[in-house]
Amino acid sequence: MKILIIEDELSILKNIREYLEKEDYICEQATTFAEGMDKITVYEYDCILVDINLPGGNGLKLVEKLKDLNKLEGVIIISAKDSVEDKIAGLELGADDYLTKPFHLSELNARIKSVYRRKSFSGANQYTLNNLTLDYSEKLLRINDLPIKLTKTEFALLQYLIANKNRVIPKDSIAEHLYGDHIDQADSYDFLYSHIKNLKKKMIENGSRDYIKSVYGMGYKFETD
Amino acid sequence: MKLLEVTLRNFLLILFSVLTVWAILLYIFLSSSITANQDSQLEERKKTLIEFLNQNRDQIGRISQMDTNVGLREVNVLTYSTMLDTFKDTLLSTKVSSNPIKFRQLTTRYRNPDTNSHYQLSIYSQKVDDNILFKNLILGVVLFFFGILIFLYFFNKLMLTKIWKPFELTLSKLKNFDLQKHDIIEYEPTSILEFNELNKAVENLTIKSKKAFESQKHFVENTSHEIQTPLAVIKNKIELAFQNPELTESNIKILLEINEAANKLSKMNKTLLLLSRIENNQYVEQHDVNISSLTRKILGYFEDKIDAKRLIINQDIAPSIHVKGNKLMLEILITNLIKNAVYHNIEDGFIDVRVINNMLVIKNSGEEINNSQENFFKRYNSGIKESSSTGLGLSIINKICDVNNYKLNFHFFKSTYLMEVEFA
Repeated sequence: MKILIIEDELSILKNIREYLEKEDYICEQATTFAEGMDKITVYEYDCILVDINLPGGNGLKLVEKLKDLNKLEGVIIISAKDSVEDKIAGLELGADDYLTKPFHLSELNARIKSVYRRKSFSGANQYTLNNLTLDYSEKLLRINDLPIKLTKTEFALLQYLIANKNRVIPKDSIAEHLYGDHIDQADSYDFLYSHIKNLKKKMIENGSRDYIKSVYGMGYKFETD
Repeated sequence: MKLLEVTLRNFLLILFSVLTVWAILLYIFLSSSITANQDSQLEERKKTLIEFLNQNRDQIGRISQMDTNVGLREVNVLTYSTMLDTFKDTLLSTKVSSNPIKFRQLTTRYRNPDTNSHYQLSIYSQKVDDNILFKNLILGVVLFFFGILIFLYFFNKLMLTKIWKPFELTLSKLKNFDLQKHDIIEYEPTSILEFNELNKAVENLTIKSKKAFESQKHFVENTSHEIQTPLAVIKNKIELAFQNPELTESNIKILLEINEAANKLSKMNKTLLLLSRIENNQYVEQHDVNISSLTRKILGYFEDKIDAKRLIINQDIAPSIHVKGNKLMLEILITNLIKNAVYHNIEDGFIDVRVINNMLVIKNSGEEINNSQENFFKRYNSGIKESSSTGLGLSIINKICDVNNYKLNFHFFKSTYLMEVEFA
């Protein structure tokens, strides 16, 4: 997958690249509005991450341009501004998602995958990994083609873990993904623990390997190797 | 005291003293000129009398009987020679009145050449009564004074009020001036130079304060935005560091502590941003919000926490109650209210959620506190130091209710807490 990151903050750009390149994505970057404009008009990407405040122009203009060019890339806006107006404007212009700084890299990764999945035409509704199949439209898990009933939270959790497979996913990243800002962190870790426990139990009981590993203090890891 | 009253009072005080002095001077002037006039009349009469006496010397002894206003006394030569014409005031009793009456007296001398006898001749003329003159003058002054008073009263009422009208207008606008609202005061030009200058000065001042207020308002927001980027860098770096398989336990502990601090900072920053946005009226767009379904949806967010505490939820939510307001603000408000009820609850406690008419009532159990209402607020406000809670939840609730004119009521009795929001 080819990704373009348009972001003027170099350290953030570096962090995103470092995380995404481990997914074997090809990452390209642009640090100004003009550079971004050049790249989107000339090249094709599968996903574009765009910051709103760019030197030389507003990132929303780039989203508009993509729509004019009729390019079907998945577009995710990354902004320091947690502004509803910008969010609505961005989505109306054709962006697929909106992420507010500070965000977790694992969250960004999951969003990229879900945008890509929605955008690509092949196999959009399922994801298969070894003997596991995630069915997005029915929100269920199949192990060896046997459907397993998961709760809404468990499904979201598994989806998030698989999106960031083979990485240490911070607890707070998962908690934020599941609960948003609604729940205080200390509590959410407990709930997270019990949800993980239940999910693991369901999977193992139904003939799956024990993929989900707890990583000391930091979080969880979905290990496939 | 009003400006008009002060000027009027001072004016009247000055007027009164001036009038008093004036009346005294007038009195002195009038009475002296009357006396002078009387004196010259007496002089005339003296001439006529002496002429008469010169022609009728034989009648000298009877002159007092002929004219009661004339007195005659024989004096010796020595006295006669030193006598000069003198005027003086004197009191005399008359047959008509029992009280002595003031007279003006001219004393002169007369010599009868026939008999070579010498006389002192006194001619009297009744004086104008000083008291009456004085009383009339005072009456005149008082009448004049009251005349002026009445005139000024109506003059003030009609003219001055009209003249001062631009000033009153400016003043009332200034009184109602609210920096929170977005309008700058506009002034109608007047024909009075000073008022125009005042208006201009006030206008400049309000524009300047408005600017200062605006920049201060946006300072918090801008700062919060600026903080987001370095925060993002910190959090991302921690996440990347987590991927390193060679991390030692002590490294991990340090990273986790940094992470916790960064999360707290991030949360605080978000809340501050939210508060400043509410203050900056960025959520003004009005929607027709179904608070019944909104409340049910938000209760859903807390399912896990509710289950963990084994709370009993009693919902009495009337179907589709609609409220006018900003959707986002209402969501934040109800979330914070429910969050508050869930977090400050006890295990196996209860929460009653009622939505009726335009009211949201949340009753919940909690720890019993024996403190007063003020301490109750403090408990929530001091939460900023505790664990992961930012403690700004109540500030948000208050601020949202304040901005939207929702009526917020708190009650608590022993271990039961009640929060009531009456939507506008």
